[in-house]
Amino acid sequence: MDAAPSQHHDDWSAPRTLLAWVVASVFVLAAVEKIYNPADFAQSIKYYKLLPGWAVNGLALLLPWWELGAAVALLAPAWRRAGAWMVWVMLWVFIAAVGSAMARGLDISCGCFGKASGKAGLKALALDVGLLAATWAVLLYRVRSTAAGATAPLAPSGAVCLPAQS
Amino acid sequence: MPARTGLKIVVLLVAGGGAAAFTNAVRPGRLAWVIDPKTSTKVGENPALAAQADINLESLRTHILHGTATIIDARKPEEYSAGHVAGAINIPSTEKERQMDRVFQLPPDLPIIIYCGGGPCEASHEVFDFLVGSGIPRERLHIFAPGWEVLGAQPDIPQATGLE
Repeated sequence: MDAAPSQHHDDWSAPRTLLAWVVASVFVLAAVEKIYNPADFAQSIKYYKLLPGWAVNGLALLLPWWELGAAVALLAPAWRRAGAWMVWVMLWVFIAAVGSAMARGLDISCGCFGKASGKAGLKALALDVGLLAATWAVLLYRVRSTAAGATAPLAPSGAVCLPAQS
Repeated sequence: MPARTGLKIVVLLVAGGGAAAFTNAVRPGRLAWVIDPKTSTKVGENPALAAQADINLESLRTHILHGTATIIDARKPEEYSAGHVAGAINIPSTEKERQMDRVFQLPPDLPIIIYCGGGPCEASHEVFDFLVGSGIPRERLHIFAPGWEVLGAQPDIPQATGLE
């Protein structure tokens, strides 16, 4: 068996695709309102008091488009890894920001979904951690598949692709 | 991470930047990419506007004691409830959009003085910008930046507790 069918199977493995779609859906939802209203998002970023004032607007304009780009990439098998890596990095940034807001006792909106956002608190943190776990799984499957090498047996179509040692 | 994936990430970042630049350029309420303190119309970003809006304790005291200004408390309802300037209207910065009706009920000829908790006083800045956006002339609006930290310690300024 050559590498191509194994890669092909992995790209379309059901759990990986499902997780990628779930993460992508959340990121699309998160991006749309912020793209529509960047001024509100800039205000949310400002409340975190983590960035110098001059940098706030630039991030408010760029970040939602990067979220949307990563989400769209997650939907396309050939771009899935690139999207997953972007989401992975963004989620760590979000977790650090929300965590630091909680540690400083800031009573602010998380800004995650534009106007529909809840507070920068445990719920937002839990959502980010959940998405991080899902993204990790999306990234992991491909890594394991590559590690298994070109001779890895091709799993039956539609089979759940669990990591090798689990 | 393979180079191919890295390249795709760069493509996504650049494409996102392009899309952001395009949508921001065609949007009516364009956002400045980098905030310029000299041209910003927001009081919290432009020191000249902040200086113009600033009011000192003595002037504020005179207005409060003579009832010659509308006083707005920009803090959260629970902070307002714990203690505020008697007669002050609570327009929390976090709920300002819901207070549009009250903005139109403000006496049209009196100056409006906004205070917050103290410190950077961002709540006052937000309410100030909101009122300017609602059509109130900037000249009528003032901010007492030291806020309740200072006001609450003035024995001659009447105070009240509870919600409106």
